[in-house]
Amino acid sequence: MPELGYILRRLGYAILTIFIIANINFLIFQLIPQGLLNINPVYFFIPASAGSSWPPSLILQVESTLGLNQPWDVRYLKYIEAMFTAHFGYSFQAGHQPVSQILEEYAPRTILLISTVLIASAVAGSLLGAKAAINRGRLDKFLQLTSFSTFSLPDFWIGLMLLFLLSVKFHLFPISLSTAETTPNGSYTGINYVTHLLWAMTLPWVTLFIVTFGSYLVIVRNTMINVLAEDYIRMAKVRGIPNRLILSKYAMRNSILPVISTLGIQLAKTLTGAVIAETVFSFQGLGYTLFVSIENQDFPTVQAIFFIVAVLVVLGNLLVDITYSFIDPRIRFR
Amino acid sequence: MKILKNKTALTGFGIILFFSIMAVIAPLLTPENPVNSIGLASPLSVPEWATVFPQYRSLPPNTQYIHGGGFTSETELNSWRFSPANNTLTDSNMSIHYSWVNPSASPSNLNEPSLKIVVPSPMNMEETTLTLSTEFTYKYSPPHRFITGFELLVANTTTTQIRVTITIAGPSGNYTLLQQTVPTNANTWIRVSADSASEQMIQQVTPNNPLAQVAPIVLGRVGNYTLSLTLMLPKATGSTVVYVSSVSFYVYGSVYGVLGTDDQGRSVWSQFVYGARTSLEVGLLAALLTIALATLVGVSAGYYAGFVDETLMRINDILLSIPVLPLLLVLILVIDISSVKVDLNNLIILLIGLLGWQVYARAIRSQSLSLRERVYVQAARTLGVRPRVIIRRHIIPHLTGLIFALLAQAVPTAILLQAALAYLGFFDPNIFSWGRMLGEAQAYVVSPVSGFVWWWFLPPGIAIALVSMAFILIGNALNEEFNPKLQERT
Repeated sequence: MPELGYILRRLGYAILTIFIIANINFLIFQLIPQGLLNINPVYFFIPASAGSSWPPSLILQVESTLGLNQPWDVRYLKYIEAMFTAHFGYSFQAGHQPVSQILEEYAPRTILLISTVLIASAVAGSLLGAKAAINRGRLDKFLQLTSFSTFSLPDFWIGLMLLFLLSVKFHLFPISLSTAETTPNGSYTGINYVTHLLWAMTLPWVTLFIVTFGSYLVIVRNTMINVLAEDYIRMAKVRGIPNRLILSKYAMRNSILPVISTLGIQLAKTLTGAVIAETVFSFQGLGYTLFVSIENQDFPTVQAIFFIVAVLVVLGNLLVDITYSFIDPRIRFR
Repeated sequence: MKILKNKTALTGFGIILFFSIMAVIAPLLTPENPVNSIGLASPLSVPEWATVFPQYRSLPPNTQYIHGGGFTSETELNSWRFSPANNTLTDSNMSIHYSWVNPSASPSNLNEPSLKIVVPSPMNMEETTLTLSTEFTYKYSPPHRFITGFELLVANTTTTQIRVTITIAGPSGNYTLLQQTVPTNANTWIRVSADSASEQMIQQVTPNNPLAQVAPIVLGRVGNYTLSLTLMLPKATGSTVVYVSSVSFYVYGSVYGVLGTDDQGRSVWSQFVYGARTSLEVGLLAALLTIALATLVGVSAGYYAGFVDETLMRINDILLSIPVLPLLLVLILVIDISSVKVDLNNLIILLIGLLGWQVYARAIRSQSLSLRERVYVQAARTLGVRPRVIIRRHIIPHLTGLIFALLAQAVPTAILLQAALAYLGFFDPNIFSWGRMLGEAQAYVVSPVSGFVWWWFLPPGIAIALVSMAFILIGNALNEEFNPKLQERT
């Protein structure tokens, strides 16, 4: 059990990072446009042709919440306040939905997708890597080759291949989430909704899995090889501890550490991959919504998704660090 | 160097060498510039060599069915039939005379051989209809599109217009392709042409179906076809001399080139070859920028240690939390709508380079930290050598191996990132890259209408994978040699 001080420090660090990210957001969308690029930041919150579709009360509300026509220090304070009350403005797209609503709807899907992919990749990669490290022979070479090739494949290409093969040619999976969601009788609800969501999520999931598990395989394999050459393993063998126990208790436990730290680093990369995988399959999650919003120049949504994605990475890293401290005793007493 | 004996590394080098050469000699490999070579053949044509497969065997290539403009030499006249016929036996005042004119004698500035038709004045009292026909054999499956036309010059100042018709007769029926009244000018050639994809021809051939494809209807079957050009001369005073030249009947083929065409008829091979340039260039430049930044940060943190180290690493970790692609998209968006004009390609290189250094900075930093404790560095410090000099002389040279290993990892990341951006649609319209090809091919890959456009879709994907893999293999070999943490123990 790591000491409380460590956890608190990591938590504080995470909050600081989130704060800095909010500042970066402000920088990108308010200071830089105004200072360097000669755009009035108003355009990022109220569409240029707002007169047409936004009721004036809405415009007034946005303006006052964010202090849009006031000097930048006022705007800054109001902006920080808005960020922490999760008030992200209104989407430029038809229907001017509040962005927080959009996020609520789509974020859980992406979180589900990414977390399951990462965990499955880590587990599968570790098991395969351990296998490779133990019986170093043809299996080892084969697995290495597999991990190299999958690691270097462009994820959108794999996605497209899968899309073509399984969705178009063999009609096993839907072409997009919306085709999965609606039937002649309207959208699914309840358990049907969940199963269809999972069905539509399968192909993006597989795509992400293929490009992610390779790194874990390689890392565990390399670490395990080093660990197995250590003296204490030899000592355990000499003492007659059964092989299985050696592997699981001594070797595996020590090899897992790099996996966990890699998980943290991979989180950001996987989010990038999720953007692409979701777009290929038109799976409405955060990534796809980000892409669509950028195409439509829907700035409030873009800002919000960017912020949320970064926050997710920070939180994920926090989780990883705390887990790491549970497992690695050396960290606890820093 | 151990690396040179490593088979996988050699394979990697080989692949990279192959694509680099392809990228450098790109203009030699393909005559077409991919950006503006629209309409080289029908959209979505298969590669030429694919005709070995049965389903592609009968696809037409780009062919001109009227050789040399129809009238290259006197003997060519024999392949034409004229109506009313060439008749010089009877009273020449009542017969039309057809003859061949060589290029230099061709009127005006058209240096092409042409047919000369003389209509003597007695015949000109009434309307005269001249018909020229020739035959060709079409032995492929129905084409996607054709264009036909010819040039004519009416050397009679009193004639102001002439009615022309182009018809074709064949196994699938007789069709009028064009019926037009053209104004004539005694001094200039008039071009008459018809395109099977044009509204006029659709109107002519299938007036009830504005969405029909004309070419497959007209050339629907294998067999002999007769193309006829009819000229209706109005009444005139004096004799009329008509020159006809540059007759063409050109079928846009459905096979083309090494890798076929894309949806706008551009050559996929040229896109592929020029794309090699873009991908390699962007990958290398962005990776160099990234590693340069990483070295700067890593060495500073590692050598100066203490407070500098702490702050730099904190910044590093914070920036690590920001996923690259969303940030890239956001920045491109913001810069796009501003009034700042930037070359998108260079901007992408710059941004990719600036955003990826964090991971590598860590590795360089830990290596610098340990190098710092080496005896000679300690000695130099004791002697009071300035830090910058120590870094330059002692630390960096020992980092080169690591730097190359990291570079070999940074390049595929950059290439994949650029490909992803191009795939999503963020590219400079004048620049082709493999990612762009995949993005543009996507709509057709999943559409059931066009089938799987394998010649367009597979090569860029495989190329990206091969190049990335090559760099990763080299990187691994370098890693094994230079990165002390990963040195393998058997």
